[in-house]
Amino acid sequence: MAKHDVHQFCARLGLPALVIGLSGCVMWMREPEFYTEELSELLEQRSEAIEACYDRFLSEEDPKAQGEVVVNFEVEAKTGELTNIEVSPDSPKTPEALARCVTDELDTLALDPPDVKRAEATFTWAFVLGSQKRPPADPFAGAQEAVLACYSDHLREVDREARGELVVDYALDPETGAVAKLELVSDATTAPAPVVECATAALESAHLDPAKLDERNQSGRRTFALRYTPHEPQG
Amino acid sequence: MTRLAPTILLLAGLAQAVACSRVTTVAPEEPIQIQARPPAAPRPGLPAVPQPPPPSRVTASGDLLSLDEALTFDEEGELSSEHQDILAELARWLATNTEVVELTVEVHSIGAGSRRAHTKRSQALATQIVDALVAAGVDAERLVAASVGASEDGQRDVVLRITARAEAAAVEE
Repeated sequence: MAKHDVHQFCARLGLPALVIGLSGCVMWMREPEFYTEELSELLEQRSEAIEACYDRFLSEEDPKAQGEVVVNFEVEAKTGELTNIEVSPDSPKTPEALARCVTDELDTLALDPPDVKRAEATFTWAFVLGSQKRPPADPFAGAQEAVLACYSDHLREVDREARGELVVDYALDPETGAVAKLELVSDATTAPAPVVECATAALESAHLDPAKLDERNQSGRRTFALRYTPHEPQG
Repeated sequence: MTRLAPTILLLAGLAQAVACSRVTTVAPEEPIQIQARPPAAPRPGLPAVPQPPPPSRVTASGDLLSLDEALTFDEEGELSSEHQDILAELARWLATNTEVVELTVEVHSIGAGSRRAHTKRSQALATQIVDALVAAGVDAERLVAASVGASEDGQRDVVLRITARAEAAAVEE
């Protein structure tokens, strides 16, 4: 706490501001309004972590999830620990995982300095959707034409009704943006073997400007669906 | 003053006891806002490529035409009705390849009989194919039903032979 904050803090302590215990310890006693403000500041320290948790939930579970979570908890006197943290029965119906984003973070917090009085708190977290993220740059955009050429050649020369998927696990070198790993996922790949061989060779030569790399495109699994538009006889 | 000290301590203790027995209720009205951005839209897949046209069912190799389906006759020597599609395809091929001005149809006959009988039978078999092509729209003047006689291998082999081609310049005109 900065010096001016301490002055402000002391000025806003209620009466009796300090209670001298029989044991000689000095404990703080906050007015309700100040208690609320201090507790809010404490909780907001975890907003970034909860946002990250929310972000993961949107990416992995439900991209449209939003809503409110009401959490009841207590602040123990003298220790400042947050205890009995539980989602309020009155909380709107919100995915359990989102509620856990909040309760897991609260579990590690403590009010410092503690207060002589125990507090019963009810806070609400509103999960709000922002604008949609921009898609990451495609590391294989430059190889797309070559992959399609492999497929078109096969249609023309071997089997005009061939189709299927090519699935690879890949990783790019973060320094150069070149393909460092490219492994065929055999179980999921259904494209004809000659197309797979030709297309993976094209994908291995893919490259992305390292400045455009992020956690979403640096590595992962990629599926290329190879399909054709049926030939329409003229006339 | 010394007589007051126990009283002061007692009051301080009582004050602490009273203070500690109270519970502060904290319930702010404004929620804590947590905002995150939905993930980017799924990356579009590869575009579909156009399927190549089916291979021609009629192919020319030199002066001979090959079909991807053998023309067959029943025991009485009647052209099977299952060949409508391939004959229509052959008619389309002839319509496209106008440089072929004459196509001769040859079918060897099978079974017992004199040479003369085979000649007639062979002619009749070829004529059925010619008639079917004419019915499919081919100019009769471009078709010849040849008589080639008896088969040497016991099969009614059908040969489609290009017996006259137009000069390239003449076709362009």
